[in-house]
Amino acid sequence: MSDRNPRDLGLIFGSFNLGFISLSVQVVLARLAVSFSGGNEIYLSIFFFLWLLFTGMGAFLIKKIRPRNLFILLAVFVPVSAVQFFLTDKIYGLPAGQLPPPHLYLFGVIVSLFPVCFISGGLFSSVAFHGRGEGRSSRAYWGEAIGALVAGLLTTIYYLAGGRDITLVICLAIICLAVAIPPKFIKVPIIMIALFCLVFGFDAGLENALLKIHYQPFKFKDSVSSRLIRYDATTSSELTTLYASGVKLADFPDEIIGQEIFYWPYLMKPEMKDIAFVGAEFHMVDRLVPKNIKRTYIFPENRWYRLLNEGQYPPEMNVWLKDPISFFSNNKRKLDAISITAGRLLSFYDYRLETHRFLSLCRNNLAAGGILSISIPAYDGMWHPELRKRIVMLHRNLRSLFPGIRIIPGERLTFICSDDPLWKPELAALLERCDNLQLRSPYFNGPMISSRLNDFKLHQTLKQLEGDEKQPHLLSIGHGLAYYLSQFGAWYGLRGFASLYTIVTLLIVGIIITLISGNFADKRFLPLINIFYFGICAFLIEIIALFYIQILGGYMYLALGMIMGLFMAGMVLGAFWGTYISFKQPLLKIILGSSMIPYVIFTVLGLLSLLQPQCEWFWLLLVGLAGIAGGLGYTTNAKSFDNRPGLPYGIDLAGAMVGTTISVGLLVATISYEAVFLAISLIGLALFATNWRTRG
Amino acid sequence: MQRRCFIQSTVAGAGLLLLPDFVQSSEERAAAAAKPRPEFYYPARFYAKLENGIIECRLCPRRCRVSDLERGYCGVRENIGGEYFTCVYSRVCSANTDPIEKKPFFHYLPGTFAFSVATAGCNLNCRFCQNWSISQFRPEDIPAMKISPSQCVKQAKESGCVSIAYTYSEPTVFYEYMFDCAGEGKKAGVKSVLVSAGFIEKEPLAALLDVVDAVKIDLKSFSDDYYRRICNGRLQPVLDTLQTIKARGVWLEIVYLVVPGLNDSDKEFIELSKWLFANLGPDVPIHFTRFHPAYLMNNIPMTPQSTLERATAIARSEGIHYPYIGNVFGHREESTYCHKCGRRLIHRLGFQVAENQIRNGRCPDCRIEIPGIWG
Repeated sequence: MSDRNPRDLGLIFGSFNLGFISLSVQVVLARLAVSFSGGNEIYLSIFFFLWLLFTGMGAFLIKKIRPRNLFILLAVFVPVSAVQFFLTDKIYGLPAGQLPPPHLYLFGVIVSLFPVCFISGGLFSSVAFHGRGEGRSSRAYWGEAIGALVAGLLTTIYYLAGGRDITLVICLAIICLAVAIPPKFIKVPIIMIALFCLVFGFDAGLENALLKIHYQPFKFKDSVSSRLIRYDATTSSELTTLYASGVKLADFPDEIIGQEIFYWPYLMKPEMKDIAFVGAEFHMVDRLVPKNIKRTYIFPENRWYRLLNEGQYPPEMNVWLKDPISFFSNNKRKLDAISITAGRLLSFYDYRLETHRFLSLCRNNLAAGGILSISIPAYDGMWHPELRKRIVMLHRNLRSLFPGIRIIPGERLTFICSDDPLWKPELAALLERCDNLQLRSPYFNGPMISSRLNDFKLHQTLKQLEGDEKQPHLLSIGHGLAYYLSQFGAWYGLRGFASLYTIVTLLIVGIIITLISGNFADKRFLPLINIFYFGICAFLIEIIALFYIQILGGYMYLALGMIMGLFMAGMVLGAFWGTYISFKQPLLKIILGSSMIPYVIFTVLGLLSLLQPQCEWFWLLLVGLAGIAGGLGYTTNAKSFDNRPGLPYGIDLAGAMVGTTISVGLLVATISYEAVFLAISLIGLALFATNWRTRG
Repeated sequence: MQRRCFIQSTVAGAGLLLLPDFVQSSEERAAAAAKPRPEFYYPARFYAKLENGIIECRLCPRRCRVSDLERGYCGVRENIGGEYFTCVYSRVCSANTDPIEKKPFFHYLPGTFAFSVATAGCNLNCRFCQNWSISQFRPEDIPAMKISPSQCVKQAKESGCVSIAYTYSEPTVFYEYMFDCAGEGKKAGVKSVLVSAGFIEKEPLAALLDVVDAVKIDLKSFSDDYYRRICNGRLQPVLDTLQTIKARGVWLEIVYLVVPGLNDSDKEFIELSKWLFANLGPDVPIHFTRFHPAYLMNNIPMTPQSTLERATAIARSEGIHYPYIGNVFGHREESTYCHKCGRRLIHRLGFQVAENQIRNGRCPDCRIEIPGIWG
């Protein structure tokens, strides 16, 4: 009969608070960290890696401190960490507007995360120690998972309502204080003051003050927090510059890009009756489009309007506030032309507009004889390897969908595609058309067309487009990260490391370790290996799901809390099951407590990945399943560590760290996910065999 | 097996796995030194041999000290066994036919075309580089075509260009190729124009000025701090270059890329204009060019038109005769006006010359000589 005390409310509440605060802080800091890295989502993995590392360190090194003291420290360090992200470039002397180099990003994230994570790791250990009876670590884990689940749901709702990051940070600091300070007569005034500040917009003032420093020497105008992301605006003389979470979107006004975007498709199909623009800020093109052509602008959201002058708003009736993928999936009316303007390839959000999936959706939306125009920054034919890879892949996607493609080389490379294989407008015809349409602006004119379409340039471009860059899998492509790092010359060494050889070596080492881990004299080693393995699997799935959801739906920022919340929901179930339900059947115990569930998940994933599942719900479901497996695996295996609850927790987080590293370091860049899923399922099988061999 | 023993053997195993790499890399090095010279490698000029096979490159003020099998900062000049080589001779990664106005040269054969070539590499690292995709990479990372100096001249002639422009990346780093092309061009009647940041030593510059016909220098800023922080270079060598070119009588134009918030203060425009006037005279055209975000500086606004207008107004008030605005298509200040009577002499629309009124190098109204090379 165990002396477990399920009514140990002190432990449950303490770990609930910890889970709630920890996950909320993770969401808000992750959003800030991604904007610091120029919008590159892949950097999230580095963020999570460091998060797990420092939390694991805290859990491992701090044995027992009064949780109250640690909550007070958290109340101090959470705002400090958040503020640091706003000011990092200034603190480290980075010139205004410069993309931070990888080492600076790493350093900034380390400095920002270390105190918060270390304290929250230590809190886990301390909270668990303050519990009574057997299975403290498992119960603390369960309580933490519930707190994190609630936090995931609330942060999602909060961001859906357009909440500001800094508001959430203030709220969290206040919650930490309220948890730490026992007498009610102090708690109540603290909460009242906080509410007062929030209601009267103190938080917005604070965030704007930070942004003002962040954007110096440019004049910060205002910011608005929207469903997906925060938008800021700065002004310099007659220009307004719009930023999405710190990454520049566009200058208002900017005529040149507008002419590039609209005049080329217009020249190719002057008889068009309607055109849809994706990624072209309306102010660039709207005044160029003749009145008889109906235009449609597709934006994911429009709260940023209020940062601009009224004259720069598009006509409301032409705007669809939808994700482009969702728009083209549901659009019934066929269009004569679609224009896609791609940005620099830094993020999955950009990449998703170049996938075969999206381009075929566009094709389905075109009327017979319609054209698709897609333009990307291309440095006048001077392509470095990562850019070339991107363009060749795009070209390959287009070729598989459209028989007729006209290439327009230049600073922006434009592909104009038609479903008519005989469609190939010649230069002379285009010049004549240009004259007839009276396109004679200082920028876009006959000589400009001739210089862009001269044989020498075209030949050079076509030569560069030769190649067989495949798009084997939606995710087995690290353009964002590769492109980002290539700007600092830091990519090529990493790519050399991430090879099939590395994967095979790691696989062999992994299998050997798991097979011999049953031979150790210390019988607690195998449970730790199990926990480590669960950590890897659970986080690997979570990160992959995040990336997939961004590529498929483009709402990762919004869904950060929801995805983590789902993971935590699974973990609550799993941890509850593992903590409070005893398994009588040894086989069942081994199946659930060792590695069978992750093994099955990864085998299924490996097979399904071959089909490239494109439903977001599939990934959400998987996240939940991974959570259940993780919670169950942890609590089943951590029962023998009551005297050292931080140890299994630290090992779990170390496994998660390895999961994040694998997800980016090896997979995204070079190797398809199928290979890694297979490798992990093989290790899982080996681990199951070891558990079975040493049962009893 | 004990846990400690297991950890020890794992670490030892990992060490053994890594060892062949080190052994292999030193073997590789030895083999590379013994190999015949690879394609595109060509003996470099302007260097000194130091002790222990180290070479000091004397092409640019950086003066890199390069050990055996290593390269200088530019990434295109390599020490092989104590001899110095350029790795980009005839290794052209970009070749285009551009209007000379795109370079920009406004007082040098307006309305003509230049066969523009570049190789990989640069001796600066400007955070806003428009051509970073070739300038900040090693030649091996970028696809290239082989165009020998004689082929380059031939292609220029065939494409109707009166000049060859060494441009896009930094021509200083492909000095030997540029020098030979310019020499070949001179024999064949094809002119050569250099588009450079001017970060070059005096001796190679002096030799180069014998074979080129016009030079455009990108003066990034008039602040040494800016050069150091944003470009990883220094200001003084560039100013020395400007003075040398002017003193040698080679046609010179200057571009000043106005980056918002970084080099756009009135103070800097005034100091710059004063220096230009005092050291180069009033007739060297200066182009205040609009910045479009690129490379690592993608998060800043483009230059407001009013800033560029302010810059030209200051330059003019300091006595500079030909300040221009660049990259603002259709702007009035893209055109050339007589500095005496104010008549519009060359009407430009973007890179096109819509009208050229200069007759025999003079203003048709007041007959004053307009500095430049007109035909």
